[in-house]
Amino acid sequence: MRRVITVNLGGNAYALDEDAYERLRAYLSMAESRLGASPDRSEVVADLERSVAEHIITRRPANGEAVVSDATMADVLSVIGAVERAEGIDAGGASATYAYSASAARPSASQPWRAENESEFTRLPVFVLCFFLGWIGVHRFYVGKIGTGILQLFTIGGLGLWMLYDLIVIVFGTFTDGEGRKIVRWS
Amino acid sequence: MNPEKFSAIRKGLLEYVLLKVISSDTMYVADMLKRLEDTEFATQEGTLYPLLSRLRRESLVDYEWRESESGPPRKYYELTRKGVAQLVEMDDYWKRLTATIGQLGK
Repeated sequence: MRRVITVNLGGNAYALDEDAYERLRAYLSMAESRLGASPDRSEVVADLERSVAEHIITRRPANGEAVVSDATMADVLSVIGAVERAEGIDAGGASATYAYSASAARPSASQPWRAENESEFTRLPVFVLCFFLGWIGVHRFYVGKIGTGILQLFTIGGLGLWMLYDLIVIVFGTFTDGEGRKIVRWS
Repeated sequence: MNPEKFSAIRKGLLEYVLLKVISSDTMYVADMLKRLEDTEFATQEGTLYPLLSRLRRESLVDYEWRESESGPPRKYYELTRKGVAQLVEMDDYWKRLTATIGQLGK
């Protein structure tokens, strides 16, 4: 016995076979993710839903389906086609300079010149922090070495010796951040 | 010849082509698809809806709802005054472009 799922498309109810429902759901969520943060996202999804409804109705006299089958849904969605984002070249740039996805704006993407094993931290601030506050491990907290930072905090910078050692290592560019990447650039 | 190269050209021209199609009459998406069906610019709803939404956001087209005897109401699109103006500009640009290319050949 197969389940039937009722959905609301453009204001009317439609009975879908569960596979057809899954197919439609997957299609719409793919469309949503393709549209990303576009301000038109909800409008386009609503347009697509109305369009699916219209295609189901126009096929009904021929296939006589009271419940939309998966094959029909596959046919409908292939006619509608995958959603493609319409990116315009906006004159003046006033209306559409929104960010599409958070991942596109990550700092690593904006600094392509940095080698993979090279830290985004720079030597100067780490050196200054170590010089003034190294006795409580602040430079280690700063670069994400939390564990050893706490250890340094409770040992007063390893009685000053550990802090002194860090200072030298920082100057020579072999100090690493929390992810094990060398801090090479000065600023 | 790599068909991908042609597809990039068509993609860039779709906005121009769509404005041109809508300029002929007030119509809804299925009418637009039909007009483009047998041309190089044949496309699908998945491409048109995002494009139309953007064009409306840029005030180049506008739509009104009309009831349909079968199924949900439809959006009937038409060009705004700004849309007509842009189409004229694009027509002009297209002519210059083809003239330039024609001259560069020989």
